[in-house]
Amino acid sequence: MNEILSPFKSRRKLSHVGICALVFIGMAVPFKVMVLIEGLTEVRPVNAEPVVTGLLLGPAGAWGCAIGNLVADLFGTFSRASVLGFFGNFIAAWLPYKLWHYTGSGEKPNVKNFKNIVKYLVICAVAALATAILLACGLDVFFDMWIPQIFWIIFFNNLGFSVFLGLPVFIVLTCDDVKIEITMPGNMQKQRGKLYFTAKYVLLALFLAGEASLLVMTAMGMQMSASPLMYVAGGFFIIYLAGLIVWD
Amino acid sequence: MTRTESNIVLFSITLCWASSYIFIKNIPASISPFAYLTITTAIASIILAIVFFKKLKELDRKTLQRCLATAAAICGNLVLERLAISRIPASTASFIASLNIVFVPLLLLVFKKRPTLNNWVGIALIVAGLVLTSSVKPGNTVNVGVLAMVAGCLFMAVYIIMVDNFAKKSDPLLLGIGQMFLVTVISFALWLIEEPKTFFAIEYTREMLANIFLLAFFSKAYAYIMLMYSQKYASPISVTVIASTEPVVTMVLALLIPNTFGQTEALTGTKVAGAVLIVMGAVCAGTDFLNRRIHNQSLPEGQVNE
Repeated sequence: MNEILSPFKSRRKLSHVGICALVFIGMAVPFKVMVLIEGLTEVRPVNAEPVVTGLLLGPAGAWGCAIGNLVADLFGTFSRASVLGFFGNFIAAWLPYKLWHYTGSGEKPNVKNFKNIVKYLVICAVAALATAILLACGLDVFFDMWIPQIFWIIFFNNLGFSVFLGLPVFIVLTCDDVKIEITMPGNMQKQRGKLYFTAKYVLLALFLAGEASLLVMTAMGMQMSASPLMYVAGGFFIIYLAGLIVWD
Repeated sequence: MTRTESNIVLFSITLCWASSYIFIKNIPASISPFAYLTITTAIASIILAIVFFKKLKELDRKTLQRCLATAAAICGNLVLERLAISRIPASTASFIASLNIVFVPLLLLVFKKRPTLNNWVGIALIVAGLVLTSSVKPGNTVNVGVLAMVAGCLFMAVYIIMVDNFAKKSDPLLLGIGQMFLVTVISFALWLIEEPKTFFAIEYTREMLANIFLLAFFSKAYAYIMLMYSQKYASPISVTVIASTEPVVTMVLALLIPNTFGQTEALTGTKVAGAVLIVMGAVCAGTDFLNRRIHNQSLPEGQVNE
């Protein structure tokens, strides 16, 4: 939990939050005219940003994207649902950061070999799916707004742009000419027992299973607020996601 | 940056340029190419100057000279293309514009840099694919328009080779920003000659401004900075080979995204065959299996080159 709030304890990291938020606003606002669902979403190349800033700047990137999205919403799509957008964009950046280091051996995020390129793509897909579930099902459960297309629009907006736009930007930002100080988790040096690793990978497996089951249910045309089974799956998904977020 | 990384970056630039046609469609025809170039590069320069303000202090005279050379090549290409497009059919213009794939290796021969066998075979396949996808008709006479288009294309080939050279000597970011700013200055001068009222002659709408901003952001600021970085690590032939897949990317995008009139591009057998040839050519030119085979054949029996 300390890690999530770390950007607010350092002036440098706070400036990272500001820069990320400004870039997010600058990229999001011009596209407000390319509406896909009135008042809710549009074509969003800005969705390339969360994965990149999450991997490079960790918590600061996540806060930057969440705040940036909230401010960008003020330019035409601000509503109660913007609260969901705040959490959705935070997760879209935070999850890639956690997943990279969760499954890695202390290597800094990069795509210099085939294995890491695949890892980047998988992380993009998992983060895009988590964001789509949070936003689409959140709109359904909390605001009584079920729009089946919105799940797929959010998923493909996030996945497409983080792969086709985010990956090249990430490559340039991690090349030798650009000297960005990549944020690494502070607990890398801690000695861990076998039980720790077992629990860690069981949690990850449960999270992925929860995500996959919600994807299948949505593809089958189920609606969370009308299906107790999907409700239960959604509940477990949130618990596993929270576990991943605060996992140290 | 590894070879795979630079290829990914180059492909993203091709994707950007190919998708830019979707937004260019929404810009009124009354805006001339010089006006379009001035406005988009000016916005891109401002964005880059704001984001990389601290870096601008490192701009030296040598880098500025290099920026001027690349900016002049881009503007030369634009002026000649503008001359040509009014005199020849669009399909012919588009086909000649894609002939960089031939001009770059030929120009490289002047600098005693010989393309590989894979490059040549790949280039032949790509040219055949371009003939099929561009619907260019044989028998067009060589006129001033064709010559202007070829000259414009040569400017672009020179630009690619210059960037290949400069990106290894100067900071790619400074080169990109400087080039963008100087293109703004040159294109504004050309626009001033064409239309003395310049900015005051345009009717601004919200939609037009949004499209201009998007083009400035992606097809100018993003694409040119990324090009500078990737060319530091990639050869000019790789750049043109990946750029030559643009008709294929455009074809796929046209199929996926309905145009402003709600129609989608018709996909003919000839176009598919052309696209397949271009992709095969790009793969062939980007690999070295033919050279390895020849090299292995020239080795004594039993000894295989790893």
